[in-house]
Amino acid sequence: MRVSPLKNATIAIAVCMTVSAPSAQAQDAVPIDAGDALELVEMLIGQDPSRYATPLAAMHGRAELYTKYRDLAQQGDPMAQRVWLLLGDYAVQSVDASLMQSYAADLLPAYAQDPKALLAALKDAPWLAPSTCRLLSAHFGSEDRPEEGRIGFLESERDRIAGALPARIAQACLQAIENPE
Amino acid sequence: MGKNNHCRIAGRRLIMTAYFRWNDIMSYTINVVRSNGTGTLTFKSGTVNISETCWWDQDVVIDAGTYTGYATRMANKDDGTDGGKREGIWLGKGVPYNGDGSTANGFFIHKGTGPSWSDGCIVLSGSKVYEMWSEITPKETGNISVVIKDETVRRGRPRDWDCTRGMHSLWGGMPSF
Repeated sequence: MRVSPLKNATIAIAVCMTVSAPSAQAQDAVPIDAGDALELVEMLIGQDPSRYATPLAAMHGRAELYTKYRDLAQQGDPMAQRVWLLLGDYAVQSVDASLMQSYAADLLPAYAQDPKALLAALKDAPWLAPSTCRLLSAHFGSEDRPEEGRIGFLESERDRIAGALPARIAQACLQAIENPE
Repeated sequence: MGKNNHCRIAGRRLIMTAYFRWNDIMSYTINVVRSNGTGTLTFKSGTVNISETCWWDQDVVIDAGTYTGYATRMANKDDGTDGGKREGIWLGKGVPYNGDGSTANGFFIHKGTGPSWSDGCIVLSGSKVYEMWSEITPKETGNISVVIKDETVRRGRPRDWDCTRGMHSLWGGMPSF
């Protein structure tokens, strides 16, 4: 059987994801499932996930991936939280309306639960900050949630965000929260 | 002669089976007609007859066209009208939007009270979504045609040359400006 170089590279990245963990919390992190890692990598490179036979099954798979890593992140698994943020970046970049609405609802409460953990993840992977901050911002005003909370959130979190992230990243993040797209 | 009869009977059976199988697979149509900011979604099947205002995110607008829809649930949303996961009609993979060749895989018709419930999805009253969704069987099947159209409003028509000439001739020449 011939395996394409792209497939080989995808599998290699997926395997790396399963064995790597954020250094700061390596002892608490549970390696992510190899199948999930492969699915995520395939999505990120614009391929249909090979574990699903149909686009409908793949759509349900994305939703399952979302709920699985959201729930693990809420339980305090730092690796799962980063995978969840990476899936959020995919949602924003690919304009996955269904996933974006879910992040708008769930991400800010997860931040409120443990802001230090989420900001530590963004410090280690600052390329996830634009999408994460956009999704945090989307919480206010969407699905009939009040817009008014935005100012209070900014007032209470401005210093924390500025202190945790590199200046340029922090400024862009605060701007994204202050001025929603 | 006997062989021919067998062939005819077998042929009729095949046609009848195909006919009944075809009728077993119901197909449904959802029409969405958009105008400025809001639209109207219509759906008719059996005793269900819906004509309801719908909304969408003005920054992410699905291109007008016909899409294959699937009655399903959004596994990442826990606020279904019946207490389960949110009911929705998935519009399939690679749906074009914003008229610039962009495509996305996560557009649904689902519940919502205004554009703030949408990142590109088409949203309408939850009770109406549930009524429509319940009528569609089987679920998880591409048995819905979702037809999205943009309403073009014609206001008057350009004046034609003869009419202008007629006016000119009445006035005895071209008016000076």
